[in-house]
Amino acid sequence: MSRMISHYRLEEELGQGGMGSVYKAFDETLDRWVVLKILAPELMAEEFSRKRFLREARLASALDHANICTIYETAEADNQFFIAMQFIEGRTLKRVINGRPMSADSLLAIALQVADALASAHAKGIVHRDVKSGNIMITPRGQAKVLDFGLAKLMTEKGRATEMEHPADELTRLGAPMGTPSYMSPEQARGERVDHRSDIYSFGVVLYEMATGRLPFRASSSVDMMHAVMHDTPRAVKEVNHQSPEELAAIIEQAMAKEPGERYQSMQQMLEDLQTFGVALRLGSGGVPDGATVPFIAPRRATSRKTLGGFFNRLFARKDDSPLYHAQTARRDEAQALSVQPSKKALAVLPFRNLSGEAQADFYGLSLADSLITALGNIRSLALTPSGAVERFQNQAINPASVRAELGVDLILMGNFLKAGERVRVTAQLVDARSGGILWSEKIDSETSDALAIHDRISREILAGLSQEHVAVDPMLLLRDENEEMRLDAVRTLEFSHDPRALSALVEAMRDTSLKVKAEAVAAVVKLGEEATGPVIQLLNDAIDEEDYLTARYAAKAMGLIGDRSISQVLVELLQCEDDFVACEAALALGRLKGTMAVAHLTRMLEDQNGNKRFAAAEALGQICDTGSREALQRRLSDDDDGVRAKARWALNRLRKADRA
Amino acid sequence: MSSEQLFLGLDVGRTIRCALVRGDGQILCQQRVVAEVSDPQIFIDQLIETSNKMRSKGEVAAVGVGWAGLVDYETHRLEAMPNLVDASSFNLRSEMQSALGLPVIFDNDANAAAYAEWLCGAARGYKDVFYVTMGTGIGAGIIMGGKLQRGCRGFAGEFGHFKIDLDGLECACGSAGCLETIASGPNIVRRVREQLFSDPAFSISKLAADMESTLQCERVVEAAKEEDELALSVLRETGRVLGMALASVINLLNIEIVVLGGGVMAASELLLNSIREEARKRTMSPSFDCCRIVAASLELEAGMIGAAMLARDALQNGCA
Repeated sequence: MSRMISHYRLEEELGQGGMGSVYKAFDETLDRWVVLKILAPELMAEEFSRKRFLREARLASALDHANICTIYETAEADNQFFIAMQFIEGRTLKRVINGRPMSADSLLAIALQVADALASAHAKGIVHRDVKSGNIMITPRGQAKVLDFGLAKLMTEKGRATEMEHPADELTRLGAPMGTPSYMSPEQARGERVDHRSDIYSFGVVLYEMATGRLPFRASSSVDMMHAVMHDTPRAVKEVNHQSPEELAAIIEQAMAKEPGERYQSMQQMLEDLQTFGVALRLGSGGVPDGATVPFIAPRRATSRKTLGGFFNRLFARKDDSPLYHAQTARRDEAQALSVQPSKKALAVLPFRNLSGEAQADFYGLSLADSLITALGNIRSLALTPSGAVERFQNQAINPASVRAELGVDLILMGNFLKAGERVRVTAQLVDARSGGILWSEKIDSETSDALAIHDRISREILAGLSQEHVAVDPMLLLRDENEEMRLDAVRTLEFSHDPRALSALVEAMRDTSLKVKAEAVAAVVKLGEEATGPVIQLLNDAIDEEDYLTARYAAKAMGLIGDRSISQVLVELLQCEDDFVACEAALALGRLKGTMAVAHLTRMLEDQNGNKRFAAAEALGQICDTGSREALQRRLSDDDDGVRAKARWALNRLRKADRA
Repeated sequence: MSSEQLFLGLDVGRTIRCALVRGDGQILCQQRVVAEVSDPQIFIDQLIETSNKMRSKGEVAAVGVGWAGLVDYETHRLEAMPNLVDASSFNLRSEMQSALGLPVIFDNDANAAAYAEWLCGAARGYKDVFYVTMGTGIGAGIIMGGKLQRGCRGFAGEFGHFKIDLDGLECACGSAGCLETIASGPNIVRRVREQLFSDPAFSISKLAADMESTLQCERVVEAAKEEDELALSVLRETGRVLGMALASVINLLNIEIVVLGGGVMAASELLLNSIREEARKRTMSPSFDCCRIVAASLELEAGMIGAAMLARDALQNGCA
């Protein structure tokens, strides 16, 4: 007789590993086949690990995407934790590749689906951490399904070592570690904290494998493999497979950059480049993919910021003899015209912002800008904006786009200074007015005793900096200054920067030890809107895992204020968070979003022993104004907590008003 | 009337306070019970039982009740009780009179406390007094020319429902933007909790940890005395709002003395400083210069003493 767990009848063991056992099972309640993963008891023995896993799995189960294997349930029965997930017929991508390069059409059809799935998960703050060809199923109709979202955190170092010896069948062999060495990002190999850009790297490896039939690095042990991932450069895709299109190789190369800041900053950006490549491929071949797989073009998202012209411009900057050159000449010319370097660049030097809080030090800001304008005026390739036109920017928060619109400049030299006693610290940044990207940044410390000498020295150093090749500055560096005021200012600068790395940097700033910097970073991230939702949820999850609850609270606050409706289900899950403040923030956010689906959860929360949670639930229910909560709110009128009583009365008043309306 | 004659004074809010009071305002004994606010009949029984217990300790001539709500001075009926159980369908005076066999008068609780402070507390000797009580709700008693002013039916002095914010929160009275929605005890706690959620930095304050189970205004006041930043910021803001509202009263009535009492005033110095500062900024100088703003001296006994003294006066005037 078949063994039963809960309402699942176990039919066939598919595999075993460090993480537990995998079965094909039948769900007798819903009459469907599922895959049941029964987790090894030792993995769930520790309460903290169990909570962490269950939270991650619950969040992952909120993912609803055609290319993501659905998690139906995470539960416990007969002292066993198990995960029930969609049963998918088909083969792993690893088997489909089978050591041979795929055609560009087939590769693209699968890549677009996987990229869209990953972009969708990242938008909800879920990082896979173990993207590999063995975790992608291809159905007989050519549909790709990404497996095991949310499970990588459960896996152990112990399991990692076994990966190298058994690469054949990742679906049925559980126990893969947090990332599989061949697909690991360098930061993952170093054991550092990872974000969604680690998945981008791993997906780059999968594309490499699809394009060449082999993995980018070979090694005889996992230690050697991780060393190679961190330090070696893989053979170029074109070198391994001459047939591979240049454009695809460029995408893979960017995804697999060693530094996260040099990769695509979001899966959405990478998806857009893949889509553009797809269009080019069809234009070039005059046809559609060969039918080996179902052609699938993931829908473009409304947030798309890149243009076809921009993409080709970047690609053709690498190689002008591309076969697509002629087909896209007009578009390319247009794009290049936009980025053509004029003979003179228009530069505005803005008054330096005074961070000292002493009004009498304001003159430094103006006089420094003035002397720089004079000094830079000698450079023939620069057209300087007169000082009279920039005075009004003194001590203002600067939005490069507004400055560009107002002054018509290409470059902005801006900065701030902090005067403390006899010392002055000046930070200067050269910003691309069009993109908001920081092209150059410098910090100069000096004594205040000789103002003229300071001006000369600062002018010299800034001039030297300007004359160097403009290599984009990593925004993270600006956030590592030991001075709190400087870090605060860096956050304010990044808020208006259109540097693609600004979002990751600002989210990271929410970990700052200074509460002021944390709060400023929250304000900046909230202004970025829904684009920030995914990275903020990632931060929230990581912070809870690391028991850094203060950061988690700021992240939860930011998440609630962004007000992204698409994450309502995630917020409902967070109502059960082990940190009460995070649960409260989730409740408040659901209130702001008028999340009627959460009324039952919030009504239960009204009975919680924790006063903060009762209060947050009453606030949320008052905002949602659902009559189903009336009785529970009325009971709170005799709450022992003064604040809960006041809030319940307020919520009931709102309900009464709604009744009258 | 002999000063040995005794009166019962009841101060009725979420807590029922009852005292046996001599004719000169001296309390002989007192007790308090937590009011049952979910059922009006139980509540009335509580009042009668408490009064009976206290009257057994001496010969009582009359009973005065200070009630946290609107009281019709002509009919002694209770018209509105925003913060209490709704007992408006009961003729409470007649029920108590027949149960106790004694004359009973009802007045607003703030009127009673104002009367006590004027007779034997911080406002003794003044003629134009504005007394404010701040607890679950906010009320006021007005004494002008040495006489308690109740308005045409007794509803004057609803200082808690002074409108201070055009777009303010809905109030228990049915209106919105009332002073009470900011400065009453429960609303102070509400704002503390809201501050806690508006800035996660506060989640590391000691007060935030205290808030995990229940929080009452008294704890906020204590925390402010312990220099807790969250409590201090909320109480300072409360003081500013109260000062702004009082400035209008001082400008309107040219008051000699403002006396501030009730549970919230346990934070007296902290609140007083910001109340005075804000009132000074917002009052015409001559009016402010001739007005003192002080803390009440009878503390939580004022309501009971005042109710007893109002009963004494009513008996004396043949109105009880």
